[in-house]
Amino acid sequence: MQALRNIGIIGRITMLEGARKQVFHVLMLFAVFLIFGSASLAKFDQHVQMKMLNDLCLFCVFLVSSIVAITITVTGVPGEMEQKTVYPVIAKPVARWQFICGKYAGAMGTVAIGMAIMAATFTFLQLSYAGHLDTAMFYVLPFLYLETAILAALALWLSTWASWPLAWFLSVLLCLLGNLKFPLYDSLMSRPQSGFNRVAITTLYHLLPNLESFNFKDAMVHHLAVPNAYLWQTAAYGLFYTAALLTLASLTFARKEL
Amino acid sequence: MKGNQTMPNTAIRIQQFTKEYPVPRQKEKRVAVSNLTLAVPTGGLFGFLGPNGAGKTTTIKMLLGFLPPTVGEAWLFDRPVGDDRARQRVGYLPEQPYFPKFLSALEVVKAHAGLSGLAGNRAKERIELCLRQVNMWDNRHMILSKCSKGMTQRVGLASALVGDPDLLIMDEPSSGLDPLGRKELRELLTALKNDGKTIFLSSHLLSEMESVCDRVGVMARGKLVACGTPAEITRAGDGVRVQIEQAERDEVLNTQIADWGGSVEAAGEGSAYLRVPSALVYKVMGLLETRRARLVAVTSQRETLEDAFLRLVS
Ligand SMILES: Nc1ncnc2c1ncn2[C@@H]1O[C@H](COP(=O)(O)OP(=O)(O)OP(=O)(O)O)[C@@H](O)[C@H]1O
Ligand SMILES: [Mg+2]
Repeated sequence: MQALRNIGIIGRITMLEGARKQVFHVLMLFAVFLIFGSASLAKFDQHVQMKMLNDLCLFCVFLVSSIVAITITVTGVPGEMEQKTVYPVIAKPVARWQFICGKYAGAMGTVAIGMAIMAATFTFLQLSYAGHLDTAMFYVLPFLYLETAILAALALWLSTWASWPLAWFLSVLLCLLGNLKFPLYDSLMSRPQSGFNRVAITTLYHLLPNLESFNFKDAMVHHLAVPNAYLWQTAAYGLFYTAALLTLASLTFARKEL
Repeated sequence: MKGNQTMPNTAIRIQQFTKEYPVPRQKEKRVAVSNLTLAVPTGGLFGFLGPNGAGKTTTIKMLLGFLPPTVGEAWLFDRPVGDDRARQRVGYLPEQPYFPKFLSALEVVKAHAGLSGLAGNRAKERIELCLRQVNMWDNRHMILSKCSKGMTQRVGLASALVGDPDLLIMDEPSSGLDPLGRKELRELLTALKNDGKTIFLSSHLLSEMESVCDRVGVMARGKLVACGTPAEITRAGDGVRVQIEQAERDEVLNTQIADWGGSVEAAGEGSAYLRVPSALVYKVMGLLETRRARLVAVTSQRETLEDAFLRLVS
């Protein structure tokens, strides 16, 4: 019980701190402008316009939330250690894993605030252009959030052993690879490879998070139906992957000398 | 819960703590703490003294589980320090307390109350009491990035105290405080001590610590060089200081005093201080008479904690 409370408290202060930072405000302003900007770009006939609007807006939401999620988590733990703010907290009867989970929860809270702001802008645009809401938003956005959750967990784990610039770079790289892993795998495997390379590529392929599958943007833009079972399966995969990364991060952090 | 726990009679028990830090690009390691064994009884104020780099902070970090010792073990209230619950009854004030910059003093202390397991009205009462104790209640809504160094120190103190800990571990608590703040801190420490709390604090401000410490441990180069009450550590006046006046420098007198194991220190204007073992004081009087030196004062020599400290660490 106290463990959950500790995570909640650490999460709360992390979220407050994150949401009060100027960088966050600037990014949010940037995102809102980007979304409005993409709306003004989309000037075709009604049908094409809606498609383009959805496509561009969702891409903005994805881009900005990923940047926010990666940046906040990657600087969170190293920043706490550099600025020594970690000491008063872990001097309390707080386990290291609770600290990690708290930092993660706080970062995801900040991302949620950001996404809510962007979603509100998006909703406003949809209502003013099309006059009604596309209900697909109600699963597309949560899955985008789940994708950023994986990214944040990945960034958090990297930041427990790498310096934050390196962790940031690796997170962005893995984000790109995770989104492009199908075409990349196909193109690599279609070329002649040695046996060892094949095994290595396949292992990497399976270890990399399958971020592409969280992207239902195309389904929304082109009004494709997505089976429920597939949604559940994807959600379970996302949660499992996040939990595994948080466990790894806790284990590395527990052995760290502060 | 707290009332049912029986109070062990050692608050801190350290057995053979050794900490080696790797030095970049060198095979040899830097020994920050070496073979430190120490027991701090419950109740009272323990001063952990030592010059810069003596290993005080490193010891405290190992006590709180921030760093694993290279060798050795320690217990807080009979719980091994590796156990997170060992810190349940401990309040800690870091060397330089830093808190998230964009939070207010109240938010920080509130968070620490929660982490100490307090909730509801009890938490509210403790938060207000502690913020008032450190004189930060009126500034409680101030954002920490706008606080001065001393104010941050006070917030740190309040967050250490808010859980009503039985053991307070403080690393240089008076750093950053003005003279008034230091006086208030001493009063607060005395009040806490009278409340039955155990206080373990590191410092190099000796004249300040002398009046409040019940026991002290002196560290030098990672080793504990003395431990006991201040009276045990300061050298009891084994000697006397004799102030004399003489017309001119008297080599015969000086040689005789040196033979007896004393020393002569000229103080200008024909006056001088002799330091001699107290057993020889009458012999010295006789000598002064024959050498026609005028006796001004005889004082017993007792080291201050600072003298003892300088002697021990040099
Ligand atoms: N993280 C670290 N890595 C390497 N060496 C360290 C580290 N922390 C401390 N040391 C070394 O360990 C020794 C003891 O340092 P420590 O901080 O414990 O001293 P201290 O007694 O607290 O000094 P001060 O009074 O200046 O605070 C010093 O020689 C210091 O250089
Ligand atoms: Mg120190």
